[in-house]
Amino acid sequence: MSSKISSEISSWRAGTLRPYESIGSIGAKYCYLNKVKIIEFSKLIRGLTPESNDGNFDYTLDNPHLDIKGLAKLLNEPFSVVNKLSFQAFNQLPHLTKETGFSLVGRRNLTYCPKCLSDGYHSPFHQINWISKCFIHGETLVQVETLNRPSNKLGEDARFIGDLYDIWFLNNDVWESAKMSYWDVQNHKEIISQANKIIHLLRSAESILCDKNDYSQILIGQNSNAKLLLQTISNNSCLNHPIKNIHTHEGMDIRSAIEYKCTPEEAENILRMTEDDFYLLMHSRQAICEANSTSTSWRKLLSDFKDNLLKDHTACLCEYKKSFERIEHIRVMHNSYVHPPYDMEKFRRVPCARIVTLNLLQIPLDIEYDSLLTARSLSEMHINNSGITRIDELKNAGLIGEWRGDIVRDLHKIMKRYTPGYIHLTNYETESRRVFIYVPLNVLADIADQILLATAYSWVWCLYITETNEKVLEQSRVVPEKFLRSKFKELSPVVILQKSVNGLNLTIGSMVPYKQPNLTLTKADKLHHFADVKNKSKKLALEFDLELAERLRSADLEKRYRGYIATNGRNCH
Amino acid sequence: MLDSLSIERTKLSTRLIAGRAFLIKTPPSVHYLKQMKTWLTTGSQGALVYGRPRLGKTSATRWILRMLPELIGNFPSVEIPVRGQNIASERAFFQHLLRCVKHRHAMVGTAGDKRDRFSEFLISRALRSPINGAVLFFDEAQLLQDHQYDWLLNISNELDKNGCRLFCLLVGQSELTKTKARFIDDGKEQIVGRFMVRELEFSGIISQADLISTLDEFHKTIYPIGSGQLFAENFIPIAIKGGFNLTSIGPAMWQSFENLWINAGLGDKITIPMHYFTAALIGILNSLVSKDKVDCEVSHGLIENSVAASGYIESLKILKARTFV
Repeated sequence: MSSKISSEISSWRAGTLRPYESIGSIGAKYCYLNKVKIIEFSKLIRGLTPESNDGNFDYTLDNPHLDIKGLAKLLNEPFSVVNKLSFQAFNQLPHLTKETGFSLVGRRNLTYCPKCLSDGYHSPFHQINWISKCFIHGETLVQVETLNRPSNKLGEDARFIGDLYDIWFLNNDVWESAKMSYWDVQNHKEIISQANKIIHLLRSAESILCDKNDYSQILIGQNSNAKLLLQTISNNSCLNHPIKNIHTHEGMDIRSAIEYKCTPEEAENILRMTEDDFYLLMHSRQAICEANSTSTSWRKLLSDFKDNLLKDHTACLCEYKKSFERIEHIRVMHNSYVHPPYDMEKFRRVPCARIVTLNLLQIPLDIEYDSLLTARSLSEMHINNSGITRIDELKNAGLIGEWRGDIVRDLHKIMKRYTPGYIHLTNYETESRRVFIYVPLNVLADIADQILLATAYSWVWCLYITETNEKVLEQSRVVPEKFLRSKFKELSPVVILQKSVNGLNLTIGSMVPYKQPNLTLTKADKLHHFADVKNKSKKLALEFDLELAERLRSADLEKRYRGYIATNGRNCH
Repeated sequence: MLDSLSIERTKLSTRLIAGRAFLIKTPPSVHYLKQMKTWLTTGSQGALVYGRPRLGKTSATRWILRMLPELIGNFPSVEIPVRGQNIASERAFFQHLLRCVKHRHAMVGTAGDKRDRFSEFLISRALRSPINGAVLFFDEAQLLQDHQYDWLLNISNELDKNGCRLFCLLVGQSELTKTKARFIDDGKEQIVGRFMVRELEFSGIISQADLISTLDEFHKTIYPIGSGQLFAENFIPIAIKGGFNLTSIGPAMWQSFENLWINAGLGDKITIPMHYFTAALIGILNSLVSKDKVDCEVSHGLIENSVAASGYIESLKILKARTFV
């Protein structure tokens, strides 16, 4: 490929590439100048990476196997600028990642600075999850709503090529000189100096943390940008103003610190735990609270939320059940496989959106298989292979204990009673499962409950957001469960546990309000909604009838056709 | 059996005859260069350069396009060999142009995409040149079809809109003048006015002084490049080191060509196409290989034989036939 690149030429305007310019920006300009489709550009970039190493990256140009020299040749740009397109120089800062949740994960949607965009520039610095202001201008970044399809085998950021192409070259008012024969490029120095400030700060924070290893705090959370924010805001942050200036997350609510009294030995043992240890113990805490029906605030919240979801929709669920049973009966009777019209995993395939929400609620409630907290089943957490580190120290400090008991299976399956032919539970499986796991005790159990409460709030709100986005998801054909899981990650709380005079201080940064979303319907709304549900139910049944009829007709034809072949055409109808 | 030097000489001879070894300055090409410089610096957008076959128009054009940057600064130029049958559609035409510039995306897209891609390519380069323009050199331009001139007009307009200029150098046979006359008759002034106002009839060597001057250029040429040895040293190294100069055979060569011209019964002024001149010179040098010594003497007979073997006689026969038709 390289030799081919050196002999071929293109219409890229040499000298217009800017440091830290995104692949989206480069691709959009390349496609415009060469009048080629995005796929052609993707092929070129893929050609610069050995086939075995073209895996997906958040940022295409961060692929360590990308031939940077080849790219410089391809664009006829100086190596010094091309070398400043990737984050490779500072994307591996392990201490900072561990202590603050630092990462360079990018947003899925195009995010831009209006000033940069009007100057024909977009940078991966604009895409980093935790950066909310432009690193050059300080302007608040704007995020576009629509999602473009990903470019084959390029990084996630390659999807912005289409977005930027549309913004720059199909509009006339964003970048004035977009269609001119000359592009003015002035601000290289400014870009480099502003980027260097951030890079320098991150690197120096890394070296400070590298020297320090005193277990004075632990940071827990699935959302890395929220972790970084909480760490930045908290008092003993090693990151200072430049980061604070570009990192603003208005959605985070920092709750007042809760103090847990414990001995210094207990505190140290807790702070020496890893983040994974915490999640494993939260999972087991969730399991034994369910098994023992222990009254906790988070259990109450989830139970109330389930009741709220069901409250105004009992009629819808009954209608759904009746209709479903009727159709299943026809389906089985004809012994011809036609997909049932109902599918609890898609909004368009159920008469009421609440059915999808209730089905999705089963995900956080499922403690047995694939827990949201640990992505493990309870069997995997068996005591001999629990995954928890430093078990003996924690046991000796009285922070964890062994628990042996029965977990009732299917407790989380709310939709079971509304679904005919429910086949998830096979006959040979028992109704309960014997488990033998480590569970948190004493102060650690209290801390786990508090974090579980914050987590339960985020689950509740994520479900609510998914349901309210019903139409958007339908239009974009995004699977609700996928959307929900990404929301779980985005809105999960972050927690800092820090040493205090009397024990431990727990600070929670919640990404959602600490209250239930309002789900109540007025009487009029309720009637209107039920009419809609009946209507949709009829439509789905009709669709099924048509499909079944079509299937039966084609089966009949097939039968006849087979007869024709068997008689070698002599018995043609 | 052929020795390695002999093989090298054969290679050099064939490359030179094919016009691929080196380009040489000749008096007609110097005149062409002056003309071209004037055209480019006075805002012309095209010119016809025509002449009989084998005069060396293509090589001369390549030479002037190589020399011009030294006079007026760098500018983009593209050599496009016109192949009539392959470029009937707009899509194929622009694909051919894109392939001539070795564009990475020559093969993909619609006719419009390819036209825009080619315009963008020219514009981006023309804007960076001191003359704010780009030169397209169409070789065998007499093969261009009428609608292809219209497509070129579109490109020219596109460049114009973007503040730069397209110069179409139409190099080909004398039929080009007929094309121009036909366009005038058909009222296609926009094409004639744009690309055909300037004309140059390219000639071969027309005087003894021209011939000696060309021989002098050959003599001074160092080939292979970087070897430090004169071109003729590849054939007669001892003689060249002994002071032999190629210009010394000039008068005899001229005499031989002139005799053939007169014998052919052509009344007009003698013209020696570069091809036959080069072939004769190569013939002489190859004949001298075995006679290489310090005081090398070249007999008239040897020169006459080489000139006769160059194919000049046959070309004169064709010329005579055409003249009397």
